[in-house]
Amino acid sequence: MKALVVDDNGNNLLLEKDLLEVAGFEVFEAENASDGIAVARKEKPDIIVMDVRLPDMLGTEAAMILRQDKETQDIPIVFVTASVMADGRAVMDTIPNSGFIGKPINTRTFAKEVRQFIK
Amino acid sequence: MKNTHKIVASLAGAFLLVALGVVVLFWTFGQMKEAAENRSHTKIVISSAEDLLSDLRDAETGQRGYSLTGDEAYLEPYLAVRDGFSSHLKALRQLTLISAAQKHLDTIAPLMDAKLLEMAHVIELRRNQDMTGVLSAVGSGQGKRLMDSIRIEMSSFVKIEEDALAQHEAEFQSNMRRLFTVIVIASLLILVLALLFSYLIYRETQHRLKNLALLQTQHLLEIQEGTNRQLQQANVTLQISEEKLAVTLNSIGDAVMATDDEGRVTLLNPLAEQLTGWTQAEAAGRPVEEIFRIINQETRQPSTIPVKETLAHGTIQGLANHTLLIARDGREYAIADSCAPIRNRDGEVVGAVLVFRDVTEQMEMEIGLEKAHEELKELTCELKRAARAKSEFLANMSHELRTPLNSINGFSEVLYDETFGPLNEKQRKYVNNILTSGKHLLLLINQILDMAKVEAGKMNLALSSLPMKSLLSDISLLVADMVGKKELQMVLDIADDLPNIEADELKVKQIIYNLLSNAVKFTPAGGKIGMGAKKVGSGIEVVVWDTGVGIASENMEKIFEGFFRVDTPYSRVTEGTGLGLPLSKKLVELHGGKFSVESEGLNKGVSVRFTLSVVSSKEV
Repeated sequence: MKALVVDDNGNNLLLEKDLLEVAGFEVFEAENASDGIAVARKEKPDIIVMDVRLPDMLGTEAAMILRQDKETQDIPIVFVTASVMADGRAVMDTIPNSGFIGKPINTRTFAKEVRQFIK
Repeated sequence: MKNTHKIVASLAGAFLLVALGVVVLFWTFGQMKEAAENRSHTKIVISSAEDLLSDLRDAETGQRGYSLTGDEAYLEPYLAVRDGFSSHLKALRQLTLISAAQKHLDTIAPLMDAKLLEMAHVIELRRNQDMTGVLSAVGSGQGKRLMDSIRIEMSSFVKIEEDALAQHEAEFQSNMRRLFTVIVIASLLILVLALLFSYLIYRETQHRLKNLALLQTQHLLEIQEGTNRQLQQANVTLQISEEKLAVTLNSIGDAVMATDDEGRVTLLNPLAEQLTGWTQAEAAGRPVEEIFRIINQETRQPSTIPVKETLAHGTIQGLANHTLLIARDGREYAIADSCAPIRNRDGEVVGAVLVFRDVTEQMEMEIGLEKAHEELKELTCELKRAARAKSEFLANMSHELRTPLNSINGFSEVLYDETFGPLNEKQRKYVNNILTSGKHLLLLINQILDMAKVEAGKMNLALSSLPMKSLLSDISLLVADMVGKKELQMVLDIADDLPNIEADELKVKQIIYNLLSNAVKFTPAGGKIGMGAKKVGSGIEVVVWDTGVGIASENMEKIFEGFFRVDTPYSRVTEGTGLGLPLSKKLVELHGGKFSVESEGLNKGVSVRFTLSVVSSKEV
């Protein structure tokens, strides 16, 4: 099972990677959206775990790009965000086959929550 | 004494007098009757006595006749006397009432006996033909002597009786006189009383008539006085109204100018004098356009004076805006106002009244207001910008704080869970400390953000129908662990008929959890906490209570300020942000409910009460 984690914060990236690896995922990493899109096209993961606030673009924008690409349009995306403002959520809701996990994450349930989004 | 009383008294007196007169009359009549009776009685006595004497004389004459002739026929009178004399005398004795007269009769009785004996003796002698004896008996003169004695006694008797008769006569006469006198006096008295009575009645009538006249006069006077008063009042009212009008015109905040039907000035009030620069005395009679010179503020062309229009059409006219009044001394005033017709009782226009005011200040103020309005607009924009900035700041802060916290909490949790290998006891404890502090910090951030969102009006509610009965039980289970650890007793009193509530599930849970955890935190071991819920009106009321440290009355206000923590020995060991209560209150109020905290004081426990309506009054 392949998972792509996109997060500009190294610590969070490491934490999420560790938790998913412990749960049995093969984890690929990216620290910005462009890299993430590239990795996704290349590796075609079973799931993408993506931060919303990324240095080059918003996670939601990257998701829309992925949805327009035939090769990546069906990969489920889980947004992991510390943003609590409702306006961001509205955009997420427009992206098909996506989910949301708020930060800080619950380390004990994180991998399970992510796995739920995989068909 | 009143006249009526006098009349009654005189009437009573008259009656008394009449009664007295009648009594006296009756008495006098009685007297007279008695006197008359006495008189006739005495007369009877006298005639009886005379009869007796006469009979005796007849008997003597008869005796003499017999003595001479021996004819028995002469003896008849004698025999009559001899047989009847005793009873005759006795009857006379009974009739006689006077004792002196009775004595004479007593003397007469033996004399009569002796006389009768003597006569019987002579008659006997004659019968025996003893003529000599007869002559000697007669010649002895004994019979004559006896007769004389009888006659003397009898005349004495008659004399006494006649005296008595005279006396009775005198009494009768005297009574007659008295009767007459009484009648005269009584008549006079009655006459006098009648006169007095008539006089009193006359006086009383006069008095009454006088009173009646007086009353009528008084009434008329009162009416007159009333009329006078009304007239005076009307005068005063008129005066007051005139004064009022003068005072009103003088104190009115507007300038007032009146004209006659030809547009000539008749009146200026002090403000009008001040603005035009003309005095009332100077302006009176001049054409209004001379006194009231107005031009258009922008064109500086003379404006039409509304007085002309008003006089011509009887309509109310407003001054054109931006009108300047040019005073006598050339000063200019921005003015505004209107002109109205003055009509007489028949509705004819007899003049015009012009009311105007200096609006220079007002115009300046308007300019100022406009400026202020502009500034306010700018300020509003600024505020909006600031609010936006604040929101952005809050969003950023949230993100920026949560991101490192995600690592802190996440890594310490992973460590604590020993996912990548065991820790020793101390390491585990320290990692747990980091985790606990991280979670506390996260709670703080969340609550501060919630507070900020509520205050900024950015807290949106996701309303749904909440089954309160099960929701309350579920949350009570969440704290059951803490309750058990602290050896507290939890009392639940949730009504069976609790209706569903239209509310934000997460927020309601947050409120109840906050309150229950507060109750647990601030109640020492062994105490009690409780939750009650019931249907009240069109909603529910939930009470969360405890027997804990309570709130001192002086701190009652501070508990909603935020970050207020009860300063008790427990506060050191209790965990909390000091934001739970104020945030709960705000969330309840956001749902349109009421939130109140009651505590009887320190160590007296706390009751927190809040309401939620079945249908939330706040829409998303």
